[in-house]
Amino acid sequence: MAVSVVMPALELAQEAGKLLAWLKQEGDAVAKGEMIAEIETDKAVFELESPADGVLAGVKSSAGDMVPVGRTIAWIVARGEQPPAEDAADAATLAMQQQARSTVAAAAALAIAPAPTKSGGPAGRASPKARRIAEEYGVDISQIRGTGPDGSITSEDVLAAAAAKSAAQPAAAPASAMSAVARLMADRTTQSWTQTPHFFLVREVDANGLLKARKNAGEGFTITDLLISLTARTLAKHPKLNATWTGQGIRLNPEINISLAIAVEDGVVGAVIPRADSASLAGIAAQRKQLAERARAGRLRPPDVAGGTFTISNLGMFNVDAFNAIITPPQAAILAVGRIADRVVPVNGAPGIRPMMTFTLSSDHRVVDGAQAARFLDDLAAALYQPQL
Amino acid sequence: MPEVAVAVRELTLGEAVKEALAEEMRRDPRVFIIGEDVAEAGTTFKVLTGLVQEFGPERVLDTPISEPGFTGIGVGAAMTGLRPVVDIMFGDFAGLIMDQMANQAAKVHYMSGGRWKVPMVLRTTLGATRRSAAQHSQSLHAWFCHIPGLKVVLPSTPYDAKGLLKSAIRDDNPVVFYEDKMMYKLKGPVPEEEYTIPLGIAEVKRMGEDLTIVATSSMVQVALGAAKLLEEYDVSAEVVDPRTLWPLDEETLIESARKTSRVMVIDEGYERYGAGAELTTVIQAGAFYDLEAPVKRIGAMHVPIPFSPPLEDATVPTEASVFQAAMALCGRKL
Repeated sequence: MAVSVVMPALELAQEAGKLLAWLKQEGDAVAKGEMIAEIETDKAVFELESPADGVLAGVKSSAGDMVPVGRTIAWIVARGEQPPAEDAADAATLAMQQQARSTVAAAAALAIAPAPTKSGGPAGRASPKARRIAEEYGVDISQIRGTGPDGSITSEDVLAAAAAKSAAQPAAAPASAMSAVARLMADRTTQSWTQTPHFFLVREVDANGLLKARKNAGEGFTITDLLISLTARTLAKHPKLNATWTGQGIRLNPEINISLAIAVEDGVVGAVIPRADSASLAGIAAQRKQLAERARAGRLRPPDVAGGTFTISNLGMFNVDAFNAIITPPQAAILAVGRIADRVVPVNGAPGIRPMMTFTLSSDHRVVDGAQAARFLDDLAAALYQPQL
Repeated sequence: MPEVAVAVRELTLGEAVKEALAEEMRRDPRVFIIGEDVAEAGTTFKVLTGLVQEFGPERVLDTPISEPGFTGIGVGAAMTGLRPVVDIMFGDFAGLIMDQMANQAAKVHYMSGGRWKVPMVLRTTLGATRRSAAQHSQSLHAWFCHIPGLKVVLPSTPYDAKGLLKSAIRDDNPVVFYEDKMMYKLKGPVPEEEYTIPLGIAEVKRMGEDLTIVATSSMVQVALGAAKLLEEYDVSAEVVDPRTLWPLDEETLIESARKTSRVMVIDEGYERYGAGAELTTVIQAGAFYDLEAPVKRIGAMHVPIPFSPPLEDATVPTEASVFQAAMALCGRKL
């Protein structure tokens, strides 16, 4: 007798799940408990087990569909048995889903030419450059029709497909679906906040030297650029702050790659300035500008966000005085930077007005302890007081 | 201030070669010329006319028809302190002198533990379309490129010919210097003041965006002509001249390939197993992940160069054939 496969409720308050992929195809024999599909909720991806022995049949949902919890997505039947007819509610859902899918398909068709035929001829062959670019941009090369000699796929074709894909994305995404950036942010912050033992050190610093240094550096440099440079060089003396908890122990990272938190439309990304301790200020500024532009255009490439060993998050431009930041695993620390504001502080025993800013350093206590983190912060404050750039 | 029209002095490639020789002979009494018909006749191609009058028959030596003999004299003279410039009329005669070059000149420095050196230049010719038939029309420079210990120079302009020849004469290693016999009358600017061009530095002869044409010797002129045709079809070709095949400026070739993503290599030697194969390999290894298409190699057909003019013209790369291949490489239809 047919057993229905339904969209499971994997979490409290879950209303729907996204069918990521079928692991079995219609007509495949399955055993009870065998994984048949991948379901994504807004927190994680789960594998769906078959509720019975039999044959997968009557598959109603396709990869990418958002399906309300409790809805039948397929049946497990005996070999030769027909799955039961759909009930009215299911039929209505199906119609809506198909409509949504056809919208997606239409958008995709605008963006991407039909897949080339696989048989014979060089059509569909991609140049080494095209393959490299496709990998960088996450474009499925098999979906591109080439315009090069004999229909071969060139890097221009890949870039056009990537541009069309990112342009089509808002239309293609179902209303309830989250962008990859938002989803990743949700996953990573949850993981970090729940699994990393954070502790926080707060330090007020006099930013007068920093402001002067920026002025002396000339046009085009931001406070962030200076902070990246000074922080990276200070980290060189404090390897524990540039380390990773591996599960078994502490790994000191050989390179100092500063990850800069950049706000994008639907979240935050950490764009990486590699080996910032040995980079010139001009080099850092140029990279920071490029990364920010690419981040805002949604064009960051995998290497742009890989390999960070320490994060700086600056919310000064939003007039935040100070904040506690969540560490980005596998890093061990993140520096939260507040705005620079004039404050009344004691200067030589009398009240004086100085530009002050507040640093909050979040550290992973498995890697670094309070005294070590404090010494780093102290050195950073000293470096800021009289920046050597 | 009134504009002053500065006349750029122009020389033919032949004149540039002669000027380089004369300057180096005046500068260094150890430099001398040896070969067939180099003195009174000034060579078959009239390149050396007048040198024997200035430097005398002791320094511009006519020899019998005996390439192995006078090349050997050159190697010995170089080993014992002189700086000979050996003239081999046609590059096709390379077979006659291969032992002197490959087993003596190229090896002596190494096998003597650095005690001997062979600061000799072997000037010779390459190039077809002179109706000289199969034994006088080949471009066999790849033979010498294959031998460690020899440097191989292929100038493509009068300016390069003079600057490179002066460097070759001053080099302490044996250098084979190839002149395309069809380029002796090619004119180009050559400044009067002293200059040299170091061996091993390529030159971008023309900047472009859409494809790179790497070319040697007279094929640089062919490539520049093809680039002009391509321009009419909005294809922007970069022309890169390695100038010396050994030492080879790999970096410049690879850099250009990475910029344009499409590369052709044009060399007048036989296409099979030739210099173009080496250049192609260097480029694809260095720029593989920036290439849109396989590197296109064009050389002479794998046949004896015919005497028949229409057939001879068909065996070597021309502006038209380079243009067509470039359009195809860029996926452009004619």
